[in-house]
Amino acid sequence: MKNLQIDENQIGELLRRPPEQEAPVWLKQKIMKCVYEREPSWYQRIMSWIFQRHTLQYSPAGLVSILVIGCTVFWGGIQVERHLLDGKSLQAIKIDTFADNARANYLIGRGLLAGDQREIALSFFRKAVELEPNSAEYVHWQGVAYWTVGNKELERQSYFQTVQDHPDFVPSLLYLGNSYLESGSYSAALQYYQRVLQNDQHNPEALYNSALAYQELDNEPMEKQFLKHYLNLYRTGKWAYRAVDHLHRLDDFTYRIFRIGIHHLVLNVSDLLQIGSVVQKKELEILADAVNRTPHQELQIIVYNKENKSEAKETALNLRNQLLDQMSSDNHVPIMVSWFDTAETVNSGNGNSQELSQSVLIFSNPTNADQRGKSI
Amino acid sequence: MNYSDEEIVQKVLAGEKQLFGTLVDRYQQPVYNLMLRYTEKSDEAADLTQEAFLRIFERLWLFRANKVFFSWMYSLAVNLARDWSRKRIRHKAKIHILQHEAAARQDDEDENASIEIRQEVQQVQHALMGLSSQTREILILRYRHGCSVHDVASSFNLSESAMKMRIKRGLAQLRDILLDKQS
Repeated sequence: MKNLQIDENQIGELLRRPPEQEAPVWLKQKIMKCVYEREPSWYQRIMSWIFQRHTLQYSPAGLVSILVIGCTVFWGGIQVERHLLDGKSLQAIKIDTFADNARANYLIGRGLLAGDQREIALSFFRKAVELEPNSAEYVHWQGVAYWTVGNKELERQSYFQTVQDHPDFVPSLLYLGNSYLESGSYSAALQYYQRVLQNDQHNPEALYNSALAYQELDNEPMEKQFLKHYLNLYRTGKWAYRAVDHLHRLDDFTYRIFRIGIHHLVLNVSDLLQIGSVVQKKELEILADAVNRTPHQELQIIVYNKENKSEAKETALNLRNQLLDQMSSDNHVPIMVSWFDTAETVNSGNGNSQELSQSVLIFSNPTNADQRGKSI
Repeated sequence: MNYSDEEIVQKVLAGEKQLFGTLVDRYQQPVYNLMLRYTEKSDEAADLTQEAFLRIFERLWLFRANKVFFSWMYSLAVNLARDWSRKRIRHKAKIHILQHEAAARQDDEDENASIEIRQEVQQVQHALMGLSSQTREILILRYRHGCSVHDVASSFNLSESAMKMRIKRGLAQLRDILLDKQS
């Protein structure tokens, strides 16, 4: 760090460029599963209702009334929760009595699978299929259960059985594709993904996995096409960021990831630079939304145009004006623009650097920087 | 439909639990990284992140709309991480750069950043781990996540002037650690 001028500005700037690891893909699902299982108590509900919607008027009578209501509600909440707990145990007994019902077996299987009780779940799914062999849903989930216990042959058979009786049943078509992809049969996987997309043209998994299959088949144009198709529809989440990384590895910088506050934003740069177009408007809407959700930031937009500086300037100013139009009127985020008649140098995922003759770089810095500009 | 954090809180409290997923989407990364700094293990960090979001969900009714949701939520997560930390062995953990830094996302860095700047970033990260956990999180909340001094102060239950002093001292400590390493 021989040239580091250690003042507050410098340290602040370095603190803003952290290497951050992404949370595991499965974490959100796990959190939401617990959230769905949790019911707020009556006490919480009522307190939330009081505090979120009403301003209390203080008067002796009112205060006493509130205290009385509060105590009653608190006592009532305890009683009701106790009652609900009793209700749950009764419910468990009832499910047992429906053990010969296909739907009950299926639902129990789903619950057990979610609780990672794979073998037992499988037996419930098998029972459900035995009782209702024509149900695509039950047969499909039997296949999923076979997959969880590592029996790929019976897994595929289940999916085949489903798509034989229900040729448009997307989950089984998709899982057949996944199964072939996992086993290295990429062309077969693509056939099933194609069938998924015929029924559900925006299916994210089929789009993304088709790109992966083409990657394995060394078909770069098709890989790019599917990645771009995916990104055209889906801009958030781990898979969107990975899709951008894949494109960069292929030296395609149509999509870039920008950091606005704590948000990572995927934008189609080539669309963003098409002044006045519908596609530019779409990108600006995404950008404006991120800026609106990120207070206390100043936005920096840097436009590069190797051939033409005045065009770079025109583009930069246009982007600022268009963005201001898109942003909510009560948002006063400062937008700073700059432009250069040079190419932007970027690193591709494979370690090479590349020059982009026309591009744009967007990032944000915290405003309200009352600590900045002083040395320590 | 893109709701603000505060609108989502209102809707979740009104029963639209699924919208809590949007808050998880928006903030799981900073919370996960916070937990990683405390635990230095990805599996423990994931468990603590889950616990943090469940705590946030259970206490959503305590959130006041006049506050910034992110800093309110972050303070809950910091408290949870500190509780976890207190339960651990009391000797100070070895200071080392987390493994994941090597695999940091390219987009987190300025694409034009030179090797020298990357080294500086690494050294600052290293130095951050030498600060007390509270000071470290204050600086990260302030500079990395761009929270105002007012919001950081309310997150840590301190007055604005006390927080300014903490930030100033924290930066001074950071500078001392960095200078020490240079020499």
